[in-house]
Amino acid sequence: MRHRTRVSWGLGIWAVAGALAFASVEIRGQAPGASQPPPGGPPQAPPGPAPQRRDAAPVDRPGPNDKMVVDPAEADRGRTIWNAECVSCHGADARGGNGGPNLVRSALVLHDRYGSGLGPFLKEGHPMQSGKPSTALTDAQVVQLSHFLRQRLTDTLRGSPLFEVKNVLTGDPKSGAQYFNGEGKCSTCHSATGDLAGIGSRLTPVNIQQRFVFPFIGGRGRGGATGAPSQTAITVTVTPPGGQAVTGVRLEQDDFYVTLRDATGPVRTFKRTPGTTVVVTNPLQFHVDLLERITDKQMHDVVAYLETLK
Amino acid sequence: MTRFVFAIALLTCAARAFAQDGVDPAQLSKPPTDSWPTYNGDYSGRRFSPLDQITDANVQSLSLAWMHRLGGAAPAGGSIKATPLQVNGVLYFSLPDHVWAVDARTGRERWHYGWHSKGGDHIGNRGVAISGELLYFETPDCNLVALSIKDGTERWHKPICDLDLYYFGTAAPVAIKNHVIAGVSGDDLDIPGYVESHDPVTGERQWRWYVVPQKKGDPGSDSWPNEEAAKHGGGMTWQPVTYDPDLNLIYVATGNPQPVVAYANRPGDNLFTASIVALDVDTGKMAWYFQASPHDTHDWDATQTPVLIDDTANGRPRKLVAQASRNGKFFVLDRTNGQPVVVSDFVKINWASGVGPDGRPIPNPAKAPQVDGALVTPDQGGAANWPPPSFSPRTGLFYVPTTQAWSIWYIYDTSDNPQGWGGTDRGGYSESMLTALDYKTGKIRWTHKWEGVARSGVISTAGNVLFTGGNTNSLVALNATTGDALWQARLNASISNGPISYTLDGLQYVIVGAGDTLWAFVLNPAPR
Repeated sequence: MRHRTRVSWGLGIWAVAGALAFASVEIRGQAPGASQPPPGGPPQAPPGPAPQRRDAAPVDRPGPNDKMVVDPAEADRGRTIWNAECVSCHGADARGGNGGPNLVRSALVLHDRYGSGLGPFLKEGHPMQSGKPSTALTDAQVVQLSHFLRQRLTDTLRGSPLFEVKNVLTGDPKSGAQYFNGEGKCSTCHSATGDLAGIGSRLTPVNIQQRFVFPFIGGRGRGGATGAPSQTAITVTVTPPGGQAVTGVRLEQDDFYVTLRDATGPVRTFKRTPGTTVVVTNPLQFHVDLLERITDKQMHDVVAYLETLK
Repeated sequence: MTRFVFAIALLTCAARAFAQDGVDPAQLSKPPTDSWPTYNGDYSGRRFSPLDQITDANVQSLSLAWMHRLGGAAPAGGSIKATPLQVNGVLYFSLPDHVWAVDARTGRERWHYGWHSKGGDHIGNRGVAISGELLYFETPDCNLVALSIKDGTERWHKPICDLDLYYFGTAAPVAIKNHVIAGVSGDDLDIPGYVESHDPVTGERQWRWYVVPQKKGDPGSDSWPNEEAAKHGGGMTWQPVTYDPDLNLIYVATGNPQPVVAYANRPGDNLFTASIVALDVDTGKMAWYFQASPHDTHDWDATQTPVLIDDTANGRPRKLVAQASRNGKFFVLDRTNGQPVVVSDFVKINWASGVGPDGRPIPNPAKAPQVDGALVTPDQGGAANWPPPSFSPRTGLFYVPTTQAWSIWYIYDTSDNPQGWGGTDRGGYSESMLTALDYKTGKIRWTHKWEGVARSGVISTAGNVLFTGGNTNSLVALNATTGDALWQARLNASISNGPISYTLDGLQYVIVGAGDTLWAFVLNPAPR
């Protein structure tokens, strides 16, 4: 096959950042936000299977359509009961520990809707830490416990308020500065008093880490593609056989065509006929190559250093 | 005497009708020609078509035969991830909660079935199985449903999983003898994966094999810290099984362990997650296993197609199974016993410190997810994923849609008893390519790079052509020997499934799904 350099093939990142985000959704188990509960009150249970219906109504969320929706105020009331009667055996997060089983993984809890399973279970009698009988719990208290438990479950799902990066400031700022100005060669293009001045005030530490390792896409990760690229855009120079070379921002390229926007503005598409040369330039190639070189310690040191640039 | 003759005639007619309308599972042991009767075309997982009307010399003359756009009939945002089955001139394919039958010659709809859903994750549906005159598919709300292939009327449905535990159905079932083999999906809560077999006629469950030990003392228990961790240890069965009729073994590719990313409560290898497992198709008993990712912490299931390869070495026939795994490793095993024959890397990886004497990769603990982040390749999507690969006995090459991607892996849940995911990766950077591997050495013969993101299934043919999806919504034909691009057609969306091929009326068709549209191509003018 046609041989191409690494620079020439790898880097349609600006053009494809959105597609990358889409692709990540295509891959199973990566639907962002899919675990968020639906807004509003408890949904009505739909009718049972109706063969031959053509108006199937899928809900693109995990779990059943009639799954319980947490009321935070009820969950807070439930927490009070939990702390008084349950926490010593089942733990603060209901994950078990001191003799009580993990209730986040309990089939009874997972089948429960607003106390529908929990209520009958507790009515049968279950030890509580105050010594009171579980049958003494009112129906309202059972519902509150149910909300508390369901909230512990949803806290474990992707997209929950707890599903966030913790502390990434573990590096050594001095070592980071040395790397920045020395081995890392960051100062070849960047300056602590120029383009990076105040970056520690503008960005959170995790965003500093993500952006310096992956400057190819904006913001946090796959979903954060920004608008039109500028000086970091991939460019391409196309030279048809015997023709003039044309350089522009690469919009799209495959085995048969190249589309670019040249300096004067128009979009042009070239067929890659035999003899046509295509040279791709990626201003961020240094960062691509850095992925294979940089160690995790160096990465964390640089973040710690950049964080000091307030 | 007359009655006897009549009875014989009746039986003959019945047999002929069966042959015309349905699928005899026995025919699925050889490469398909005038049909595509199971997910991978046949039981081997090779997705190799012996058809050679379309060749590397004439593929430039491919033109559109028809297209079938679902449009508003498709679920919102749904794309055709199913590999269609083609049986007796009719194509059968699915989206979550939906099945269509369309004419394989014209694309005209024969029937459409909709299931009224009770929920579940609608991320995709990989396709249907057919045995006799019944068609089987899974629904997101955990049912295995049987339809008549004649008119799409429902014959039965059976529960295969518990929706409240956040299981769901995506896998294409596989019909083998008097079994319908169904896998399960679900990766939110800490629940066990399993694969099960159902009676094709009644739907009754025949057996279920759990991927992770369900009680202390079960095989694999000593690779978990306790029974609680083991029985909630994940290992979903997303991928259709492959099957060796001579050995009577199915090859099950199992998913990643749970909790997915935060791993404090599951030290050990976590068997039999992220593994290739051979089961007796009649009993569900395990014959052997090979773990592709011991103690996985990166969502790298090993649910890529286990492809069966037959060859000879030192004058003796060999039975092999090959997998290009999500973790970037290429494994070729002896499929009679699971012993490794070849282990190599098909992308650059930085998470393993080497390979043990048992052929299994040795994870580098420093590249497990960390609270402050670890820079790792592959990313969560993996070096390979569900889009099906292909193996061509003609070229001896294993073709796999490949991604070289980097991301930073974080632990969010720092407790000693994390649940669910407990972390994830953020990134990143990725390069897409089609990789051709020499299965005898594990070495890369060539790569065909895409100038952007591409990840589609592959078919290779006896015409020395390979069809797959490129980065510009294109169906692309490559020279199967060299990887040179020969032809492409830009479609409405990126290729979302694995292409198939069959001959009808002397004409070789290539069928591919892109978004909500099924496309059919043939040579024009038709060869004489």
